[in-house]
Amino acid sequence: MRDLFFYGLSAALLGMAVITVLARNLFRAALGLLGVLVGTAALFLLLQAEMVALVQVMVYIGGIMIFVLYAVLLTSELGGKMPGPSPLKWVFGLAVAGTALAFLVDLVHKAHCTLAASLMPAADGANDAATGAVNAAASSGATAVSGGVASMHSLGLRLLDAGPNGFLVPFELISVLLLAAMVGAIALARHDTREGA
Amino acid sequence: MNLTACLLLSACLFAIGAYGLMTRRNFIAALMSLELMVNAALINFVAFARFGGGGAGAAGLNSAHDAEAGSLFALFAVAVTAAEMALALAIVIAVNRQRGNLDIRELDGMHG
Amino acid sequence: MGNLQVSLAGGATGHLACGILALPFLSFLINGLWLGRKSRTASGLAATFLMGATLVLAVLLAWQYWTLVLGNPASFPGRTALAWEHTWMTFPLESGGAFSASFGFLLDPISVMMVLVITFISFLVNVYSIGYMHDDKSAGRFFPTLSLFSFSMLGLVVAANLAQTFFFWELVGVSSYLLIGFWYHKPSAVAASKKAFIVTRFADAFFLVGVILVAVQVGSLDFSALNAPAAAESLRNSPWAAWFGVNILTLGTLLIYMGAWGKSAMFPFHVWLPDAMEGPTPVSSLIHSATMVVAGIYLTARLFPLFAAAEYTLRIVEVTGVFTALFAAIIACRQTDLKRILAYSTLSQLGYMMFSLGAGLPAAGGAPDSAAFTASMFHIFTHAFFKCMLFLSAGVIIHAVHSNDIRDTGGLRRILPRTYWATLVGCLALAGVFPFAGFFSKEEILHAAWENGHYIAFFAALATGALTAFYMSRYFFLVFHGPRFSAGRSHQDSHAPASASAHSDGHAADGAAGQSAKEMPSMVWPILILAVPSVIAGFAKNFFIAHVLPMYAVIAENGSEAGSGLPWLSPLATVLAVSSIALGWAWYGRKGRKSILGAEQETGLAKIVANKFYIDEGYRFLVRNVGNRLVAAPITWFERTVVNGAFDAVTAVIRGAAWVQSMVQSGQVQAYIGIALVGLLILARWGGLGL
Repeated sequence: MRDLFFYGLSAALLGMAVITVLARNLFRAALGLLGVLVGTAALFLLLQAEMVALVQVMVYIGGIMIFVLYAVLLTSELGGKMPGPSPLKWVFGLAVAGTALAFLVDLVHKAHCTLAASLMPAADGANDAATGAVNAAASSGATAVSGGVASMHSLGLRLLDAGPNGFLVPFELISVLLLAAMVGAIALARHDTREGA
Repeated sequence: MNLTACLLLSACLFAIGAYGLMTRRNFIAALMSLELMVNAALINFVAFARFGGGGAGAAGLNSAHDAEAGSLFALFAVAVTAAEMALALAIVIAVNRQRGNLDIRELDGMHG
Repeated sequence: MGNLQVSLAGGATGHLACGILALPFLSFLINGLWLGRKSRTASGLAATFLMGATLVLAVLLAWQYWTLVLGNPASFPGRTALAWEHTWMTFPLESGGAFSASFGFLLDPISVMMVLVITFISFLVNVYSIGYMHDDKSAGRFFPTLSLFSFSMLGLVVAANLAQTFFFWELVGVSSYLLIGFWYHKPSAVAASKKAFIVTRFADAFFLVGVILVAVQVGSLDFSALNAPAAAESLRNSPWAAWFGVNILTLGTLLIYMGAWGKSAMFPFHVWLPDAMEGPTPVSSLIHSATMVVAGIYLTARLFPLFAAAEYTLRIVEVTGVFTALFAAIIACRQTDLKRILAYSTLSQLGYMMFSLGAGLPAAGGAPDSAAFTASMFHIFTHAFFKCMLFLSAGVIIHAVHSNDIRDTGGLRRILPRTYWATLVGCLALAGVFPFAGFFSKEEILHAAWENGHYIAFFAALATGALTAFYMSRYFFLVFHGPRFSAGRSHQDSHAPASASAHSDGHAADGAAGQSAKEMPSMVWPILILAVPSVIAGFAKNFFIAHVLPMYAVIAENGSEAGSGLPWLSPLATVLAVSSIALGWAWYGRKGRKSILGAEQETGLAKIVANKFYIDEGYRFLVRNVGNRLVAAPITWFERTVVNGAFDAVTAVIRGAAWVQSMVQSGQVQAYIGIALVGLLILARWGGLGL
């Protein structure tokens, strides 16, 4: 059931992604992106990463996506059709994307093989939960294991932990980064009256 | 559903995003393709956090497995993307104001 | 002899020696970089002052040398010492040792003598130039170049090894090129400077090959090592000898002599020297007396023991010398340009010196004779003074008459009285009349030639002496006696009969010359000072016999006592000289000069002589027909098609690559991203990341 749901979700995601990339209408492409983002949030839920899913919905869909839609609305006519890519570009893009895909699939394939190989000897004698989880993950379609799940509570504690494994400093730094980005965005986008005068 | 399936999904999403980034002529559309690629990376983060597999070749990989860190990385990546998007869209608006269109081919100030 | 070279570095001698090289160079830098552009007068004064200081240092150095080395013959049997030496370049050899080129300051009788002569004459020429270049706008360029020239020549004469010699040899060549072409707006000056440079460069190429050949075989560049008998032995027995078919000793010395051949303008490389008169007269004076042209003689003398071991080379030295002496003397009799007459006389005297070196080997065989070598050095010494003076006087005459042509002069005795007397002294000295300087040195040379059995050369030299006396009297009488000169007359008009108007013009010009250019003090004083050594330098003979003669005692030991014997030589030479002068008086002094000069250029042999035996024309023919057609044209074709074609192909490839590159640099962000992405993937896959 879970697998079925995953594959269905994956198919929908990829379909939305293709719409995002190919749609001639910019607004339609934006809606495709919205679909991808929602699908990804659902995938995160499926992977039991509730916190990431939540942030995905709030920041991505609620923040960035709105932002993109505003930009679309500000800069283009909604009904306008964009011209398609030239043949040269089309071939070029396909070549680059194909190269990337081939590389990544090759990498995943290799990782899959080594993962299976390295875990094979450990499989019989191991009673460690995590080993079992990975073993299961690598060898079959087995599902969730408790060791791979991070609860929202523990995430929060970890995020504000100042200890050696805590993420307090990156957390603070990212807030500074966001502030800087905000200031920069305002500075870039604002109409410079002095220049116009 | 396992790690390999998630990684393959992410690879496909990344390739589609790359194609869009290469072919889109509208600046905003190209940025959307970029978002697809970032999403693929996010999926990777979360998948590894969920299933482990970091340090695949090492025998004692499981002791290093840290599901919280994977999720937190995803969160940070989202934050960085938000910052990046904010700036990129500001640039879009500035470019649109200056040139009147968002054709990426005309932004060739770096040609040799 | 290596162990005989005692170093005097560290003491006062070393400092003096440094100063002697440093001051002229300093003068070159100061005047060339700064003062020359500010003020012509200040530049001249600064250069003169520094050269004067160098002269003082040179005198002090000579004094040091006198007390430390000459006064101490037991410690210095070769009379040789090194003021200082600094290793310049070191090349490790496969055999384990090291081959080094050093930069040194050699003190021996001839180098100290040359340092004194060069500094003395350079100083006087500098003083003279202040007056001579007074109205020349480019004098600021003149003095630094002159200083560079003096510096180069000083470095050349004190060189302790062939590398340093070659270095300064080329510097002398360059600075003389700059000076001869000083008036670069005159096409003839440019042509002359190019000619001098190319001819001497041509010879220098052989010189360099010879230096390398000899240095590689002997394993050292030091004169002390090269002059040791062992060096000649090793060259003679070189395994390469069979390979070349000739003795490597002969070949090496001959190649080195080629350098001297060109620099000292021996026939047939003499062509550049008369043309070098295009430079300012002080330059001609410096080049023809103390510096450039004697460099070849000096080099040959410096390596005299090595040359003496190479019998055939020394024979060639002798033949070129004596032929050039006679040949140039004949040409000098029919020249009409003041400075060219002096230039050919210089050639003739250089031939004398060279021939004297060559005569150092007895015709009958046996040990080389140092007396001939001594005579040659002695002649350099005396010739420097009176020839320099003659040139400086010629400069005064040219300044007064505004013409180089002997047909435009005449009757200058009254207008330039001091120059008159000085030129008289110079002519008598050059002609070899007792008791002037030239008499002693020429007699020494003739004596050595006779003693060593070179009878043909002896008579040729005797004839040269007579010719010298003849053409110098021609020069003297035509310039200072006879009817008064007429200024501004062109050469073509000189054959026309003198008219009353021309005569009165002459008077007018007299007045003008008397007011302006005539005998400026700074120009006349150097001449008068030079007249003193021109008279008395001959009495330094015993000094030369005492100190130069034993220099190469290692190789030269025979019974020929210079100055003794041959009681008939002095009277014979004197009678010849006096009778030639009398002949000159009879032809040019007593009779009206017009008839003589008019008839001079006419026909037959005289015409050939007047045209310098058509040597220049011969060269031109050779260069045009053989050089251009057989050598230059194929090389040009090769260059145009093969060399240039190769370069064109290379540029085409590069241009194509650049075109491909610029295609990538399209400015299209998407192309950049794509390439970056693919590149990143390639790096990740094959870049050693293990992915």
